[in-house]
Formats: sequence, structure tokens, C-alpha cells
Amino acid sequence: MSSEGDTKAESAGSVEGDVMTAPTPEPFDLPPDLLHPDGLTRVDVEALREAMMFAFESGVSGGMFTDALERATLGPSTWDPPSFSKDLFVDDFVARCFRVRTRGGELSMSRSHLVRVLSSPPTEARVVEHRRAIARELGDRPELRRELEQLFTSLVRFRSTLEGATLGKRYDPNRRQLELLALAKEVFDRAANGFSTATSGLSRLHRWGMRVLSGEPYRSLCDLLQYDEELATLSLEVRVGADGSIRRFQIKRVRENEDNPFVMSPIRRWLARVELFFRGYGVSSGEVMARLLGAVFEGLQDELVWFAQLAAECEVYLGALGFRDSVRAMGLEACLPELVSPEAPRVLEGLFNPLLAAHGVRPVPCDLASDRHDTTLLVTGPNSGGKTRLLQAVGITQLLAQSGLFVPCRTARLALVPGLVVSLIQETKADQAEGRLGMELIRIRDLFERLPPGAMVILDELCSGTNPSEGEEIFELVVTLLTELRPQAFVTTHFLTFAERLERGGRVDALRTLQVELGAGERPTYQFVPGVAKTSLAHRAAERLGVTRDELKSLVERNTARAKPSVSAGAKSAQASAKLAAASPARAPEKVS
Amino acid sequence: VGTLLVTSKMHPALAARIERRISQNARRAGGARFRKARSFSLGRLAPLVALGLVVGLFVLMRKHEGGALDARRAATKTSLMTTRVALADVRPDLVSEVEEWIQKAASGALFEKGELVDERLRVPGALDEALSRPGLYVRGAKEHLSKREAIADESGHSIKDGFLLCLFDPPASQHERELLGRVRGVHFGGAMIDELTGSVRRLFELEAGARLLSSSFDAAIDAAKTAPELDRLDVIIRSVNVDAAARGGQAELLLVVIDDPPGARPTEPDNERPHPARVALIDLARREPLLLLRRPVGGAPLAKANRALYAAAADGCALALDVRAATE
Repeated sequence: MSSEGDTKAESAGSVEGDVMTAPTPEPFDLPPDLLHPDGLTRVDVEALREAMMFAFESGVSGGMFTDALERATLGPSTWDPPSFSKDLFVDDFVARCFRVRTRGGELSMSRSHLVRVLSSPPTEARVVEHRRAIARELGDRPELRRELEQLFTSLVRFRSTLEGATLGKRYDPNRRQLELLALAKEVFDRAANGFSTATSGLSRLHRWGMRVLSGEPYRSLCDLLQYDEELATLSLEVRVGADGSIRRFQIKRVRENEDNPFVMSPIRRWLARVELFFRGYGVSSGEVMARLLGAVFEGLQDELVWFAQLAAECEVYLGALGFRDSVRAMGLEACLPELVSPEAPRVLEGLFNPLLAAHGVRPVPCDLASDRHDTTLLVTGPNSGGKTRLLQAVGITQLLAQSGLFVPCRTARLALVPGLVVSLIQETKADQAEGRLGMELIRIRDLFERLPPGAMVILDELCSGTNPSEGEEIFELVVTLLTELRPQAFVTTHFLTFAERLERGGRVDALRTLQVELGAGERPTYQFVPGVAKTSLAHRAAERLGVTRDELKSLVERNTARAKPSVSAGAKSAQASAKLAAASPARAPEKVS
Repeated sequence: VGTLLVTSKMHPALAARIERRISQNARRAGGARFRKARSFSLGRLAPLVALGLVVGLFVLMRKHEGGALDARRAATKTSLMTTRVALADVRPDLVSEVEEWIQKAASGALFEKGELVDERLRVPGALDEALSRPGLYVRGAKEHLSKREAIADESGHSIKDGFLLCLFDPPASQHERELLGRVRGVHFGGAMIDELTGSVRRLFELEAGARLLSSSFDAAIDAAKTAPELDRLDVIIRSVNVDAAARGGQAELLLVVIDDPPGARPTEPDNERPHPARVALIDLARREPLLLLRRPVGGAPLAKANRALYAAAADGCALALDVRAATE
């Protein structure tokens, strides 16, 4: 399914014309950025270099990677996270759905960075296509996904070793630094060798790795690790007696690894210690190794600073793949959508709400189709019929598609939008200045102030906080003016009569309607069909939730019955207290005497 | 900044980083600022400097001492050379020849044919004439003089005594007063004895001088490693009576008295005891004995009060009179 859609997506991406150009040879010194085709430096390289050196030398980091990623810049985006992030529960969605599971268990680098990346989709289509190509290749080629997982595992281990030196067991500083260098080598080796056949942006890892491998710092790193492993080789002769015990132990031959540039003669090693002593250091062999370790690490610093950014970007793709795995485990489908122009029909087949899936509820997929994108879609139907869940699913799908990742659909064809505004939650705050309607009106004003033409707008139960007649006036005003911005609007309402009148009136050109499909016994099927619902079936919801006359009356009677015994018991208690108070003055002198 | 941590096989960039990391500037600039590193301090050199100073002073002291010792050694050798010049006429084999005669006399080999008095000595005045020739005198116990290696030590105890004095200048008689008149001078420093017996030198004086002529003395000087050792050698050189040794080196006669005391306890107040003695007079030039006599010693006629002081000298004097009597 995905391959077909992806092929189309590629062609659709190429149609964009202004952004999709023929790939040009990359400069050799681009950072290993997996999110942007131009290779952005998103972290503060200088600060990170300083922090890494500090952490390497001292073993104290203070969450260096996390800090660097929280301050990392993102590519250009016209999306405003506060306009939708909270209403779509992006944080919760990332925490529950974008999990990276490897053979070593579940790993995480920076959830907040992941949330920021998803909440700030790129403006340029070529950036989206760059990410889609990587996601597609990782989805289609399990061997590359395994390589990326192993690379991510090495990066996470590097981070935990670099930052967690003071946690757990006490480390020998040199051993810890050697372990860090070994992990760094592992990262470079995996990048250079694991992605040589990649054709997407993953190939940048190969080029970056090869560049590192061809440099002097990497060769010095290899030499130092070899020096640590093999200073010399001893050939031993062990003579064992009849009782099995060792009788003689003799060194037959000693061969020093003379090819290694770090190997010195024994006299020179001794003199080096003497030199360090006069330079103000200790004289242990560890001091000599510490100087060498520092020098090798210093040479690698320019490449090591990319680890934080690279690890976080690996997490984006591996999290997306993890999301796809989890929905497949529930018998659902996720795919890379086909990107089309706004004038083309929108098709979302097998759409489901991933938040429901994340909370263990198997959602019912539905199909959503419209003849074009820039429409205002009025969704009506009974309460608890899935209208709000549908809006959430549409919003998350758009969010993931804009990020170049897998969407919760079997097949999807949609257009990119310059922004997203979602108004689903109408919770009351203690410090809010206005009532429910006032707050809703403030949000409508804010929506119009910020909404660019062609953006996606999702509004749930617009103007439900006032009486229907006055609410309908505001509703009509909003919908009518919204169409002038040619948005992709999704609006739910229970103003059924008004909705029907709008549909029939034809005053809004791009108006489309959907209603919740009802099945047997007027139960919602969680599918949506064209048209306006005739009823909201509030009584059905009331029955389902136990809000009927009989049930409420029985509750009132029960509460009344409970209150009577307590009242009589309270009266008895008061009488007993009065008696006790009357008797007390007479008995008190007796106690004294 | 060169460092021993850098090897020739290292890439220049790596070498530069290593040098930068251990250098003082790098530490200031931040290269190793996070590593616990102490600043370079001359104080770290203090123990080494102190050790160097001690060693240097020790070497200088030894060198100075060595120079001083060499100077002392040279002075000792100069003194030795000066002495050797004075002893140039001493016959190199004289001491050996003399000791051979002494051993023969003490062992009794010379006396196997009995006593001997050369006829030439029987001529009146011949003994005095013979004694006027340069000669050597030694007196000692038979026990020591019969051993070649003990002769030198025994000769050290042999001095010009009452026998030698009375042999050269005999008293008129063995009367107590005559004897005492001669031997008192011996006991009171011998003021006259050396004058009266001037032609004869003690064997010890010759041996002391001859010792300086041997190459072993040069070796001892060269082998001396300390100033006290050289001091001891200097004392030996200075203690040699060069004139006496030189005169002893010209000796033509050897006069030997060999006491053969019995093992009994002393019977006289001065610890002397009567004993036999052998007297030999050897003509060294002609390599033949002139006089070989055995005579008892002791019992000189002295009052009891004088015996305590003069018995030995008086007995020797009486022996000399016996010897002179044998030549008459």
C-alpha cells in the first residue's frame, strides 16, 4: 500500500516544481543532518564542544545533550505550535506512540525535541520530501532500519556514558574515557559502513562517516584503542606437573606492537612520567594515558558535537517507525501519504485516531473524502458519535504528513497547508477573564488574526456556549468569513437546523457536510457519510450515561433516605451533650476533694 | 614545546595536540583545564636540587680530599727519596746476610765445632782494633734469633748495653765498684755509651733504614688511601736514624749475643737469672767468624741493694770481661 502511495507521492512532490529540484552533489563538510536536505547546524556547536570537553574530562555534564537539544533551532516553519499542540495532545501522542524499541529495550534521547520537531513542520515541500524519502527507505529496507537502530543505540550509550559518569558504580576516569572513544568509533564505523547503499538522505551518514574515517583524528583514535588493547604480545610456556599443577611459567618471547605510534620504549615511557612530574602532573601510567586520551578526544571534537543532533534526528525516524509498528500490531495501517495540490481531492482511507490506539482502545477506521481540500466541512451527528475523535485524527494526520512521516491511514492523499489552528478543548481556567462564550470569542478573534490563507482550521462545537439563536449568528459569521481565506476547515456543531439551512442556502460555496452514520438501533457506526444529521440523539447519550428521569429520581430518593438517619443521630448526640454539660459542675468539686 | 609523549610515528596534528595539552599555555587556554592539574613549580625541583647539591658537595669534598692526599703522598715520596739518597751506600743484601749469620749462631750451627777464637784476635790489642771497624750489634733470646722472620722484631729490643760497653771499654776488674762505675752510665740514659761504642751500630738501625729501600715501601705509599695511613708511613720514615743506618750499612763486623735462658723462674730481684749465652763475632767482609764463645751469664758480684737496678748490666759487663779474657 505504502509503496504505491509513495511512488505517487514522489511524483506529486516533483510536481511542486519550485521546491523539488534535481539533487546536487553535497559539499563534503555538511553536518549529518537527517531532517533537512541542506544540512542545518541546529545545535550550538561551540557551547556543545565546550560542554563535551568538560564532561569528558570531569565526568560531570548536567544533562548536556538534553540542554543542547532543547535549545536546538528548527528549520523554517509557518506553523504555530500553541495553535494546535495542546488541543491535539501532541505531547501525549509522542510519549505514547513515538517509542523507539530496539533489541536492547526502549531507548529515548529527547521527547521534548521530538515534540518540537513534530510541532514545527517544515515550510518547504522539498524538506518534507527529504524526510519522506528517508522514512520510506527505512520502512522499505529493514537492514537500513536495523543499522539506524544500532547507530541510535550507540549514540544513546555514548550520551549515557558521557553524562552518567557519576551515577552508579564508580568509574576509573581513563577507562570511562576509553569506553567513550570506543563508542565514538562505533558510531563513526556504523555511519560509514551501514548506509553505503542508502539512496535517500541517509546516504549523508555514509558520506559523513567516510569523511571522518579518512581523517587523522579517527586514525589516531583507532591507534589509541589498539594501544590500549595491545601494547605487546607475550608468548608463554607453561609446564604442568603430573598432578596438574603448574611447575614452570616462562616467557618465551615478547613482541611489542611497534607499528603503533603510541608505543614507546620502556625507558621512554619512564622518562615520559618523569617529564609529566616536572610539568606538574602525577607520575602514574594513568597520567600519560590521560594526556593521550585528551589529545585524541580533542581531535574528534568537531565530529562529536553532531552526536546530539544526530541522535535526536534518528529518534524522529525510529519513533515514526515505532508508531507504524504499534498500529500494525493492532491490525491497523499507517502509510506515507500522497501529497497533492489543494485543488485535488482529499482522500483519507482507513483513518483512525492514534490517541485512542495509544490508550489501548482499538479505534474504528473510517474513510474521509472530499472533492477538494479548501472546503469547510461541517460535521454533525449524535454526541459520542466520534466527531471530536475524527477532528483529532485529521489534525494529527496533517501534522505527521507535514513532518514527512507515517500517518494513521491505510491510504492518504492530502495537501500541505501553511498552518493549523485547532480548537477542541473548552476547559475552564481559574484565572480566565471571560466566561465560556467570551473565551470562545477570544479564540475566534485570535484565529482570524493569525490564520494565513489556505491553512487548516479545526473547530469543535463552535459557539455552543450561548443560546442557539445568538450562537448561530456568530457561527454563520465565522464560517462565511473563513471561506474567504480558503481554509481547509473542519467544524462540528449541534446546530443541526442551522447547518441544514446553510447547506441548502448555498451561501457558502465551499461548504461540505458530513454526518455520523447510524446503524442498527440508532447506534453510531463511527463512519461518516455526506449530509446533516437529523438529531443529536442526546437522549441516547443520556440513557447511556444514566441521565434519565427515573434514574435521577431514584438517586434523589436514596440521598434523602441517607440524610434522615444522620439527622436523627445528630439530634440524639446533641441531647446527650446537654445532659453531660448539666452534670459536670456538680461532679467537679468531688474530684477536687 | 617538545615532549617525550610524542613519537616520530605520530601524525603531526596529533603530536601538536599532545604537546598543547601538556604545555603550560594549553592548560591556561583550556586544553586540560578540567583535568586536575597542578601548575608547574620550581618547588618540585627543590628536592632534586638539594640532592644534587649534596652529591656535588660530596664529590667536591672527595676530589679535594683526593688532591690533598695526592699532595701528601708526593711529600711522603719526596721524604722517602731524600732518605734513600742518604742511604745510597747501604749494601742491598747486607741485612739478609747478617740475618743469616745470626740465625746460624742462634741455631747453634756455628757452634757445632765448638768455641773459636781467631788467632789474630789473640794478638794484644787486636780485639780493640777489630772492634774499631764498623760493625753491627744485636743481642736477643735464642728463641727469637733462631727464626729468620723474628730477627727484625727482636733486634728492635736490642740496645747498646753493659756487655757492649764493657767490651769496648772494660773495667779494670769485676769488682763491684768497677762494674757499677761502668754500667751506671748505661742505666742513666747511656750518655757516654754511644760515644764509646761509636763504630758499632744497632742492627735495628740498619734494618729500619733498609726497610725504606725496599719496593714494598713504595707500594705501601701508593696504596695508602687515607691521610692517617700516610701519616703512619711518614712516622716510619722520620723515625729512621739515617746517619746510623748509613753507618750500619757499612758494617764489616757483626757482634751477636744470644741468651738462652732456662725456663725456671727468675732468681734475682731484677728478674735476671743465670743463663748460658753465646757470643759470636763475625767478619762480614771476609765472611768468617772471628769469635765463637759460650759463657754463663749472671751472678756478678753486686750487693743485694744494687742488684735490683744493675744486675743485668753488670752481668753483661762481666760477660764482656769473660770474652775479652778468652782472647788473651
